[in-house]
Amino acid sequence: MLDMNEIKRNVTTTLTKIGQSHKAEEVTINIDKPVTSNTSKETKSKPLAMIGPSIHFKGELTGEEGLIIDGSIEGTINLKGNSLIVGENGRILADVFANTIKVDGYLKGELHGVEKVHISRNGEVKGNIFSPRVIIEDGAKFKGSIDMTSKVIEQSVNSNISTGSEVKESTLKSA
Amino acid sequence: MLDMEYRALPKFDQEFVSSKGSALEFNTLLFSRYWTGFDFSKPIRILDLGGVRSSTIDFFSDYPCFITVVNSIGELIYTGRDDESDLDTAEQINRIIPIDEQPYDLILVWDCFNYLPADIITILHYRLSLACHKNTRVYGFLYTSEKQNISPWDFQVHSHSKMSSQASTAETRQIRPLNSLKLMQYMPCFKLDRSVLIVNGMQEFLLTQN
Repeated sequence: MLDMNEIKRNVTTTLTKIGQSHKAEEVTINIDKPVTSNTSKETKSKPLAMIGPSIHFKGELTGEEGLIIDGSIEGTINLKGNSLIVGENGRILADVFANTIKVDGYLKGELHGVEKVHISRNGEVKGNIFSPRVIIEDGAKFKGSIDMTSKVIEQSVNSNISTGSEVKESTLKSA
Repeated sequence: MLDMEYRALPKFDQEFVSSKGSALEFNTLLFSRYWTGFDFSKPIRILDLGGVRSSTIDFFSDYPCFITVVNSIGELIYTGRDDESDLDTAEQINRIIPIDEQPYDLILVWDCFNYLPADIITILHYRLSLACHKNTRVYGFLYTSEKQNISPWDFQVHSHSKMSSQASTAETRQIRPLNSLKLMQYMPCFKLDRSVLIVNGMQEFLLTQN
């Protein structure tokens, strides 16, 4: 479980509301190493961090744990060796690099899954998929290319991770 | 007469397949022979004009493949009918069918030729010829019966020798079937490599560049 009080102490931000009445405010997010309540040892199934439906993020998002996104993200998502789940309300306009990627919402961009990419029946993806294993459920919407040659995928994910850094400063803007 | 019959088709949404139509499972001879003879030492590039289907992706996942899913058959059927479009027919088709520097090894057209007017087949085939190398094969089906489903079927690959197809509606039409001879007249850049009659009046074909 995530310790929200601890996270609030580490993050300074102004959330962008997805609504018509708010003016744009430019703020900076310093995302430190994520804090969970169980920090002493790695557990077999690490809890997933979550970006809720009211959050709009623009920039490069990196992390070393799994992530569920129900908000909207623009930019790049880089989760080394971890899973990304795009929830049903999630709207992603970004290139994604992760171990496994599951899309239940909408994603436009390139998906690089070292192990697997899964588009559920509610999911919609526009873009190219690079993964040795791709599962697309009947009813899913997809338009793009699927590259299932493993060597290409590992190289692309590793090269993206090595050029990035773990702590990123990102800019949050509201509409 | 043939063109007017094709243009009378209702709007077709390939993304949604209802359960109203019948389903058909069948063995493929040509696809099986072609696929098992492939050189899998390098990635196979496939262009699928149909929509994405789970078992098809599952099948190709077992091989080093690069698949482009265009989901364009519904759009192709409506190409040239939109008088308000700023693009001419060739430009519309160019927009629908993506081509990059590397040609494809296999192009899956499924049964779309049975539902396109002759002029659209001709323009489409020029576009497809740009995506081919000398060993590329175009794979699809022609219907030999005069009673056909009013909209394209939804095909799935289950194995190299087994496929299934699902009709989106049970409604049928009477039409003069498109035969391979006529198809070659509309597609001068290609020639018929092989064809075989399979179940229910379906003709499986492989085309290759001239």
